[in-house]
Amino acid sequence: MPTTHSDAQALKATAAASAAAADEGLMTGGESTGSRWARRLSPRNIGAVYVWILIIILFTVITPDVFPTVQTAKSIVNQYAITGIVALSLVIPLAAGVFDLSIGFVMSFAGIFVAYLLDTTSMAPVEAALLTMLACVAIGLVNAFIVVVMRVNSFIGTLGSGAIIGSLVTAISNDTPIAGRVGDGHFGKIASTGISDITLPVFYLLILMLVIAYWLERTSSGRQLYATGFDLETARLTGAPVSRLTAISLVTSATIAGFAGLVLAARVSSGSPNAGAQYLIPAFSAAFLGATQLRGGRFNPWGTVIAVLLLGTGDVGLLVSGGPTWTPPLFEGVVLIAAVALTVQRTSKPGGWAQRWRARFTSGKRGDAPASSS
Amino acid sequence: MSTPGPDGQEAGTAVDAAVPAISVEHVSKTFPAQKALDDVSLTVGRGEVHALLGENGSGKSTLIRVLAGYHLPDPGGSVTVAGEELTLGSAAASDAAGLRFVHQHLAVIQDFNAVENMALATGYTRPAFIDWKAQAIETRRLLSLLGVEMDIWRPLSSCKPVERSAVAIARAMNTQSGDVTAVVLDEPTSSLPEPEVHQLFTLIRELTTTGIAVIYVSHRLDETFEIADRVSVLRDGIHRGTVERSELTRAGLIEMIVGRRLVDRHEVPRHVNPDQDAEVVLDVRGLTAGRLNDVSFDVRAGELVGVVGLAGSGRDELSLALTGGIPVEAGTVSVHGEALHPLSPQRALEAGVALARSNTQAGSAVKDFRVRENLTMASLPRYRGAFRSLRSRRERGDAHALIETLDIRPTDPDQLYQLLSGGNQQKVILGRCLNAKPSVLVLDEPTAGVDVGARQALYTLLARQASEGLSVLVCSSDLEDVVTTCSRVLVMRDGRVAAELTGELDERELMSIAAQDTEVPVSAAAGSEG
Repeated sequence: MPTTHSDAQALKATAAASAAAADEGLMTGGESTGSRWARRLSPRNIGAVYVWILIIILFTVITPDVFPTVQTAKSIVNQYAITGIVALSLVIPLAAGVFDLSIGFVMSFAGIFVAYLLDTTSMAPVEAALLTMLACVAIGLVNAFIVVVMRVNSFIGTLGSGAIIGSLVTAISNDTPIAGRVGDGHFGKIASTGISDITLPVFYLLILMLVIAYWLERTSSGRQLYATGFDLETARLTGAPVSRLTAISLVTSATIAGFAGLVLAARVSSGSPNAGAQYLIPAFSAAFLGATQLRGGRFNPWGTVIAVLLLGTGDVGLLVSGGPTWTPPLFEGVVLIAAVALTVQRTSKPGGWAQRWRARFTSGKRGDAPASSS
Repeated sequence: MSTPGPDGQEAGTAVDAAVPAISVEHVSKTFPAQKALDDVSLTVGRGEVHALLGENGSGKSTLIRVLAGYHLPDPGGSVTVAGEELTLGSAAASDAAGLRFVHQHLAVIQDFNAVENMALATGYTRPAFIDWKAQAIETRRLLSLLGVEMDIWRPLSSCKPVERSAVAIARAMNTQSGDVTAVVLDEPTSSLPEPEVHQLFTLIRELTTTGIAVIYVSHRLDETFEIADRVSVLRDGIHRGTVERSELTRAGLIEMIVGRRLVDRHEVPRHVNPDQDAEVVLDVRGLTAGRLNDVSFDVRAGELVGVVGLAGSGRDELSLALTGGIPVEAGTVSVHGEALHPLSPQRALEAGVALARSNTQAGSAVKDFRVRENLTMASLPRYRGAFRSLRSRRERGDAHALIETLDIRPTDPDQLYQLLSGGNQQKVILGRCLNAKPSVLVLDEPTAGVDVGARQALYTLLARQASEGLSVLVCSSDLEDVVTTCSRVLVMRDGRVAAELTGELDERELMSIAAQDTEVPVSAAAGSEG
């Protein structure tokens, strides 16, 4: 390039210096180690962890015999691993700025479809599972077509496609669960095998969390995905392939949700036409609550998994302490609204109502928002 | 609501013209990190247009917020409105005292008409079965204070921008909570095209004849000269003085604002465009896109070229069309002799064409991203490592270097972009473009919302980059940008290049050509030196 010679020189010199600084972990300018930890551990950064601890203490006090046991802990992680996988499937489209409301139906579809294949054909479980995953990828492509090519708002588009998938599920299943070979033990292994009572789905969850974290936070396409979600126009003008990223995010969410559906079918030994519906709300709750954790308003897998643990602990705690069966959904709904309220507050513009409101209750440092037109 | 004008021609009413509209005495405001206002005292007279100037962070907004009752100042200061002491820290008290505020973004509902927008503040005469006739009469009465006649039944989205401003200002004149003493206009011209700025000034003048004082907050010095009776300047929270219109000089004002003598436009190290035998880097032939119609021009290596034109002339679309932001219908854009076809933002970036929009525009930068992430956004492929990973140490190093080169404050690369001041945001946007190592830099409104100090730094940076071989296209509605930096200017009109001027440029000359109705032959409009 014939352009920035002297600047480029300056860049090289300081780049070396700051790379060295980064080496020593002095990544955030002059900030001291103490204040960095204070910020990392502040309720604003990991509030859900504190709420989670409070919930654990609360239920330990209420039911000291039943709740605080290794058995409860294991059952929470085993039961909520699937919720976690579904929640992680949402993180990607949400980060890209689109909704995917069809994931609950995709889950049901995957469970029913694999059960149907195993029931009516002589396919090996592995083949049936792979074919089901392919079908879910196809659903993701349809969603992508509706949202990216037909330019239907993702909220409406995936609501509509979800209804269509739901009708497909009913057509295949006659609205009754399909058991058959799904429950014969071979297929069930993908959900029931475990290491010291921790079942495979927990490991699927952890692997997915790491893979998604790597994609979103450590690759350039992940950066562009976030940019697309935050500011489509800027992302487009700075060369991000926004349509492709949006499409990929919807294909990924359908694929992961389908996988969750397979695991669920294996776990309960049957494909159920309504199995996925109950996962939609906790998944959204966890994804939105997760966005308020650790990454300052970004949808991220770490926060999402923390949020799933919080939800699971709350749900199980409520049931163990004798709460009626309607209490877990109540809890999940409240968490969803609270989480979105927190997200709105974080992402609101400087000087907006939320920030003004917050300024009254915090140190007041933001009282004079520097980005305002002074 | 007839109060005496500044010359007292409406004498006989209750208000005493000798009592100032607003009198601020010894007001300070301390935030945990800084002293935003330091013992500020100033008076605003009846019916006067009082401009409030200062760079970003000078304390202007804090002062306005104290007046609005949003900030409670430190104990010891006082504010008197029309002779009565104001209860500080209460928005209701400020409103009752007759202080009104019109924000930069107007807060009007575009899908509502003037009457409905007016009713947002004045309320309706009846709770149900709205008496539209009475509402219309009230709307017309308020608009007549500004001398404005407009179609009050048309949705504001289809009205002229200045009419929207008029509705917002007139709405602030409602007397629901008492007579209006003064109105604060915050950057009222930032969204107005040039010709309508003068209509707004006429309307402000009309308003002041009723005795209402206007506090006019702006970045634009030229406007201040045109509209202000007196000018007060704040710097670092300290009131640096108030100057009568008759004593205003541009140099003096800049001196007060920035505290040191900046090189004036004629002292800016002038970039000399290269000879005709320099390589043509950007070649545009017959470009037709959006409003643009058959636009052709070229830019050589190391050349700084300005593009001016009124709103709607196509000036604002040229930058987008060149960088693939809007679809090209016909014509070609070539870089280093290679035609970019089809033209997309990705393709343009790969070919070395980078776009920097104003930080006030959509699509300029990702507000929720950190400074570092914004700086590297247009050059991510460069940081790709093993397994498609982002080489974060290298990214951070480049971010640090850009922050230092461009003097971005604060210097923390992990600072959120949206918490930066306007000038620093603009530097980040420029930094993103420079980091992409472009051969052509296209700027769109580079100094909107940027204060004088940062402007000067920007101009100098552009000149330096051009002298090192970068081709720069400066598209701006602020003629000062172009006149200061460029020695070749394209004047756009009706989607075409109406004239091309070279040499010493004059703002008036440019404006008169841009505003002409008839075509001027390109050669005939050539400037003095050629």
